[in-house]
Amino acid sequence: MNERVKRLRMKNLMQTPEICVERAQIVTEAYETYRNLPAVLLRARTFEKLMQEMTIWIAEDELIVGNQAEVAKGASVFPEFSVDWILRELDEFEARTSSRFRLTEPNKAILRDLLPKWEGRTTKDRALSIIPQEAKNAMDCQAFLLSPLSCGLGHIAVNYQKIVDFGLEALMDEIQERRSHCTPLHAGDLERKVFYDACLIVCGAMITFAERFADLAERQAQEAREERRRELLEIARVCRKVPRRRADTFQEALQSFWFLHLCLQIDSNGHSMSPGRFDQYTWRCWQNDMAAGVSPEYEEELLGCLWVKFAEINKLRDYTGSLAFGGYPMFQNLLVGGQDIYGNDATNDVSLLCCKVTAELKLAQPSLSVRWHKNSPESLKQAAAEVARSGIGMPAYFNDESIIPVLRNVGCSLEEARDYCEVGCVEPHVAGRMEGMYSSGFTNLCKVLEVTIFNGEDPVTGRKIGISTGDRFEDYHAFYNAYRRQQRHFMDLHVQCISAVELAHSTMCPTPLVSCFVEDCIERGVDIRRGGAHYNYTSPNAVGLANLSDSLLVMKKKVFGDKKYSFEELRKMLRCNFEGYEQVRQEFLNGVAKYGNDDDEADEMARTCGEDYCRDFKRYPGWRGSSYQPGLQSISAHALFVGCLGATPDGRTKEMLVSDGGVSPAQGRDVNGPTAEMLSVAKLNHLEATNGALLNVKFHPTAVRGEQGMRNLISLTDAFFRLGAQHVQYNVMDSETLRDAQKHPERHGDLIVRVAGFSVLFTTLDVVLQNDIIERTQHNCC
Amino acid sequence: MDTKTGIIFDIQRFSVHDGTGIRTNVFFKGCPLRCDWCSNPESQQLRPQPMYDAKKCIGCGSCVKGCPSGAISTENGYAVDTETCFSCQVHSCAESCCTRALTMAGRPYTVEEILRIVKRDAVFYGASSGGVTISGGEAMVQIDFLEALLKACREQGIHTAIETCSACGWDSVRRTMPYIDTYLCDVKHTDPEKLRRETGGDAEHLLGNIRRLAENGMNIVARVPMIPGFNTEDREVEDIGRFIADCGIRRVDILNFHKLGVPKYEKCFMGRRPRDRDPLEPEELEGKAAIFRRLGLDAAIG
Repeated sequence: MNERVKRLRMKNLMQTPEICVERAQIVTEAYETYRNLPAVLLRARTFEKLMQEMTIWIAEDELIVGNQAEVAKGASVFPEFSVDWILRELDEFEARTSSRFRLTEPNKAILRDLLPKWEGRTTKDRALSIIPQEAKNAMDCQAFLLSPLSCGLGHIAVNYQKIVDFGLEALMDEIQERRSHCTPLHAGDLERKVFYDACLIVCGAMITFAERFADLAERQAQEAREERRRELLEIARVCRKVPRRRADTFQEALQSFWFLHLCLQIDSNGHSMSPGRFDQYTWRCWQNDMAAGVSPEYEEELLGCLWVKFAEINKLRDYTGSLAFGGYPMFQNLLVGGQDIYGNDATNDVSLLCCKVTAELKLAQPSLSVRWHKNSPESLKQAAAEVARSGIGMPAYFNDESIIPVLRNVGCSLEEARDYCEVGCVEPHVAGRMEGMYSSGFTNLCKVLEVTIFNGEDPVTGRKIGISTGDRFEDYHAFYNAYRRQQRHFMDLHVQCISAVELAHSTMCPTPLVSCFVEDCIERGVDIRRGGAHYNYTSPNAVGLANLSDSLLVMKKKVFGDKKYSFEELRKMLRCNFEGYEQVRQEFLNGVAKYGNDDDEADEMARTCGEDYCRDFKRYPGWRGSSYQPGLQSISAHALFVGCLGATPDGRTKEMLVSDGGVSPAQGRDVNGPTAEMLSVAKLNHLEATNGALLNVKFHPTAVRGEQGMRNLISLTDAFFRLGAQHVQYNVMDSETLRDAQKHPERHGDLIVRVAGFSVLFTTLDVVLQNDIIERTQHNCC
Repeated sequence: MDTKTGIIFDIQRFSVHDGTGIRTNVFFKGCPLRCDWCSNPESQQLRPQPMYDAKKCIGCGSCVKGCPSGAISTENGYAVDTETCFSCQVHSCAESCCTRALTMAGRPYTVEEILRIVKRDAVFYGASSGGVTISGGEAMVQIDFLEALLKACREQGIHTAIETCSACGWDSVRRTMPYIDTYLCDVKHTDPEKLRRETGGDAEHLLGNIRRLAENGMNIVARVPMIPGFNTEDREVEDIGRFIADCGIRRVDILNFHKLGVPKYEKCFMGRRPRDRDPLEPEELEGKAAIFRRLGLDAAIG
């Protein structure tokens, strides 16, 4: 890492996240001025005003420029999506236990004055007005979590190649061309024309934005010393050229990419804006530089500068969100390696450099992913292993041989499937072709089980939130059928909620900016929120699979099998959180096989549960003409469900978290080592989990030390993927360090851990999640 | 002795420090030596024996009720009369324990049973040039069963390694030669008197067998445990190194002293206390490695 990048990195790590208010002010003004415009134009003009008026800055040492908020790591406010929680929690952002934000008194006063004007006018208010009370009750009891309710939708990888290779002027020409074919007499055409106008406005606004940076760089150059002056003038030159036109140098490519990536996150706060196959669309420009004799060290420096910019992006979440998404994660999933559209290996020098820079900088963003297939070169495998051993929980490994069939399974062509990237944590995606609505929320599987056991009642709140499925069951089979019915009941409610959110966003907050970079929105003249994308999916996720299946196996064996305990006794024990029944709880914990130990019976149970969940959800038609594509991943939603879930039959008391990851075994229950764990996971039906299946594996550093350790890590991944799994990520960290970091956070300011599909700074996490990470089974050397 | 089954006290998958690649370690019970630094004291007796983990115990008393011989008492702290226990071998005490605080270390396994577990990780062995490692205890104590197991592994094409102190007659050692890919041989000391006093072993076996394995062209990695107060003087290390080099063995692993096995002594109701010393500092270990290297050995710490 060179000195410049070192300085930028240190500055970033020292920076305290802060709430910024300028965006909210500009947006409020814009909505006042443009309130009579159609929604899509209102959004375009609002974006334009932001591009023209927001404060911009270029910090010392920067080579890649462009800021999201007034300060680095500042979180803007997006009043158009929701305000109720911001007003409610204004005094708490600084004091809460997870993801704290500084908020100055003057800024607090501004928000207090400004936000009430939005009450009743946000997408959240609109969605809630359509959501039936029954669904709200279920959500109150956390039967499922509707994560996208309070923010923009995000969760996409757009076509970055387009802006790098062609630039905005070419895109605007294309839009003009389409627009000119609209006839004024055709009603549908009028709508399309308005949409095209909006697209032209946002493209023009981005060019203005870049020009402002060019002006600023030139102004700063006048007062800068010689060396910095040259850099600033180069920045100015680059910003006048891109994203207006095609990028030619590596710096131009990175800058062009960054403007688009940044603007997406100024326009909306949906997070999981994913760069996708970064090594592919920047490769041409890298080659240009190499031909021109630019040194690889300079390219590395540029990449380092860009990585720090990724780490500046931030988002304000409400208290619940700060627990569910602990540690300011932004899920900017940047992916390298894998096959090209012909099936050949596509790894290049940029892929390797991305790994190197990630391992050296050890920042929580971007979220590095590596595509792996049977012809992946040793160089990439080693570079990836070095990242894994750096202890930051990256990269996420993805298996081409499993994910390409998954995408074929949902209707993509072979070429598209081979060109896949990942969005957010582990959501398979074809960049610039797809709207996957990956933020469709999470099902709390154990709550569904709990409500089934208590015949429709939520024992924690005493409220009736489910359907009555009976108090007596002939046998296990009858009980499981009741569970399925209950599961479908909650899916009915969940689906209505998702559609309500989509309806609110499509009518109030269309996204012409995203639409410009996702086919077929421009071709068809339809906004992405209304189904303009070529492929449309809706993708909810299951949380707590391991606890559900472990619980069901206990019931099958102990209640319905040898009938050692009656159903009534089980209820009684669960209701009192096993108090006075410790011996039985231990029997449930230790006397019945658990998922994650390569035990066929336990693993088959998990497979059935996962499969049935996915299949049940796939029965629904979704908004935008989409199909439902569920996944098995929990992000960190499992941490959220802790207070609202009672004890479960697997021996889990109500204080304990449900399993992390998505397909990971319950914490501490996989006692046969990582190979057994991986074999268990591989037995699940990965083809059905079309929205991804997430496995966390934790290693002690000694287990992967040295040359042999590196080879073992590679072999482990190789073998796991040969078994057909989709994804794995490793946390290489010793518990002692983590415990020490809890005690002395000041000494571990840069300690990064993998929570689920993302890495964050350990010290910014709530203590519940911190303990969870420490307790996940650590595979030691034997 | 029954050759159909062997007494095994643990099978550990994903072992990465005993031989190449990802391996499954099969721990045989029974050892003729009685080293006071032993980190697997439950391996010394051949017979299955009770182990008790107070941290896991919830005091439900099921084990007391489950014991047909009345060997367990809880009046003055948890205690098992091991003599009574050994003569019983019913194990219903451990079976009735809901928390697994009380377990039996060791039970009979058949070759097929072990192979079934070992083969589950075959996909990981192939990718990493791993396989099975026989450990203990001293597996040669159960030579008939060991031979049968090794033979079966060989037939299945599974790479085999064995961790051994070779404290047994050459006849037993010889029988393993056709089936072992790598020997991981303990070299604890070169002084016969000191060996007898501190380990109870016979230098004729402990050293002689290694020399003969080497003469037979076997692939051997020497492993030297660093035991403070026993073999860590530079002069002693040099003698050990010279013996290894004389045998024609190239590779030596230095294993630092550790106390991870200490809690087990209490768990196994053993009267004896293990050696209580500090491990060597990293610089000291480097110094020992340097001694080996000066003798032309390929020394690694780990």
